[in-house]
Amino acid sequence: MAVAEAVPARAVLRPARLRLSLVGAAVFGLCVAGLAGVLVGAVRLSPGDVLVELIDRLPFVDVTSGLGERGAAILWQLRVPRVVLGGLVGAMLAMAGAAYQGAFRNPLADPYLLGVAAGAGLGVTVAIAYIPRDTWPVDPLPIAAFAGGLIGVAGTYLLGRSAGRSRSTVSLILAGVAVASFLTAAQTYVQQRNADTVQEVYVFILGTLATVGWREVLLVLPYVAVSGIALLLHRRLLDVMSLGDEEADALGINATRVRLIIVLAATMGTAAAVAVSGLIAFVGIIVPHTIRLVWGTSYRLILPLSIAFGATFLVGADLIARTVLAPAEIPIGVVTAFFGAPFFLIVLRRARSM
Amino acid sequence: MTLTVTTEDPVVVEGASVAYNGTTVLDRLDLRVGAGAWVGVIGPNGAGKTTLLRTVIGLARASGDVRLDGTPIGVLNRRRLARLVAYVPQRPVTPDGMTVTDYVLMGRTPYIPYLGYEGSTDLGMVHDALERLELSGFAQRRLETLSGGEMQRALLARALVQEAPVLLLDEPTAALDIGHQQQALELVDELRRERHLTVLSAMHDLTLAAQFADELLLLNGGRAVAFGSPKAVLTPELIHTNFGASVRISEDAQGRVVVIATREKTLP
Repeated sequence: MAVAEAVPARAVLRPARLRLSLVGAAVFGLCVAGLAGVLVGAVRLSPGDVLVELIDRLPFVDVTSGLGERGAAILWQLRVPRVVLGGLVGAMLAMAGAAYQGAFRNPLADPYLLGVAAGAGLGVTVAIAYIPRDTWPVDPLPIAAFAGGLIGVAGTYLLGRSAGRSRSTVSLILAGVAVASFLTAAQTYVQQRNADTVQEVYVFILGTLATVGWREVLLVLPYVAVSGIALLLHRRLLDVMSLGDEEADALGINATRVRLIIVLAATMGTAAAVAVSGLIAFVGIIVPHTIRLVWGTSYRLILPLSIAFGATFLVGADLIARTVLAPAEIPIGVVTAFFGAPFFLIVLRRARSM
Repeated sequence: MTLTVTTEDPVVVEGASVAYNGTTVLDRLDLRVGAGAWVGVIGPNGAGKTTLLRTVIGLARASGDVRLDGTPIGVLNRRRLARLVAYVPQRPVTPDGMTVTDYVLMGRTPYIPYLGYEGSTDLGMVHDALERLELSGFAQRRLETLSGGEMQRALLARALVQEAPVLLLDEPTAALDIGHQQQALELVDELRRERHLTVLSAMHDLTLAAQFADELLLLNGGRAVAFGSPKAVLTPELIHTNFGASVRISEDAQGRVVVIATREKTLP
């Protein structure tokens, strides 16, 4: 039987909320990873000089570092944009993974496993092969990726629903595997047909941050910002969605419409990320599930924390990708898969008992 | 100036039919539930009990008329519907890791703006509901650690903070042992009297239905077979025809109907 509380219970009521200390720790972790990403690279730059150079950019500070023009160019045109883009892509993929998991009520959902990334990859390849660049007022790559990503997720959802009447966790993922394979095959075909024009696509499948600069950062930023804000705004509703469509409807939410909005937002951000960095798997599995295991299952925690931890994770993975075989680089998608695949098996084992 | 006074019953169903893939599961059903009344819906498996409840809250697409407090549910959006009717499903989804506080807070959803967050009023209501249902000590407990009876109280707490005048219960005692079945239904009855709730509940156990509901609706094959006081509906003949069961009807000390299943087959 319940024991009556002596203290006023109003003070005891603690709904799942983000604690400031946790946000602080997450941001601190991100700063450490970002700094490491900026300090380490193929060309040796003195860490002290790099720090001075960074401090110089703070407002009202004017100091001179010993980096020289070449060093400064490496720092500002190669390393910093790479770290910033890694952070953006990591945050986006982690948020999208969490959002798909909530919208589909499926712990195994991930932009990669749902066919979103493969569809976006196909979209990008088709755009590079058939749409002459510079003829559009805006860069067509993210838009083509968005269209491809929507085809991927819609195909997976419809196939998964028709395959498993019971809406089992695994049928959606199996459908995603089938859709992703098909879209990847189509992508490879388009790529081979246009082998002369689309060399740039080759590195794409494994995912890489090797060839990025500020142009890519500016390209994805608006899409990631809009998508991220939309998903963050829906964090309470994602908790309501976790009760299932019927109960969410009975509580006054239009579950079908909310799911559509969330999937559209997550797919748009994912597609933009894929358009610049290629297919990077498992970020959307590792990051949200780690947050669930350690801090709690409410999306009011998971979504904001996914921004910081997703960014930290991918910046760290990129650091590994470019140092393990230095001066050569391994694709970052290989690093995330190396950690992600075993992690996925753990989630799968837990999901079976759900 | 004209003043419209609604004197209509809180729940009115007129000629409602529901069909899934060509199979009729609810057939031209009529039902009125008066303010503060408790109507129990009984019937064999597949009779349409759950479909009737889903029709009242607009989850099942029905032809015919369903009105809540005189308003056709077709003109109500989901939010307004959720403020009029609280629905307690038979097998509620209990997300892993969710605390009782967060779960009960879900009941405030129809009052919280679409992209907004709960305020102190909402939390105050959750606090009061937890206290009323003796769940204060469970506020931070995760749902998966609750017993069946505790989970049922958490569900009722969630329905209470929804502040809806009509409470729909789908087999509220299905997962409970005999003691907790009685406790849960007594609790519903107390809450109904305290808050003047109108209760419509699908029930499996005929004796419990007879002892707690004011009136019973017997469904079979989607049709209303009988409606009236427990004494009028729970006759051995009607039960035999509709459930294929042989029973004896008795009474408890207060004169309430008790249904006793008997075995006809004589052993050699």
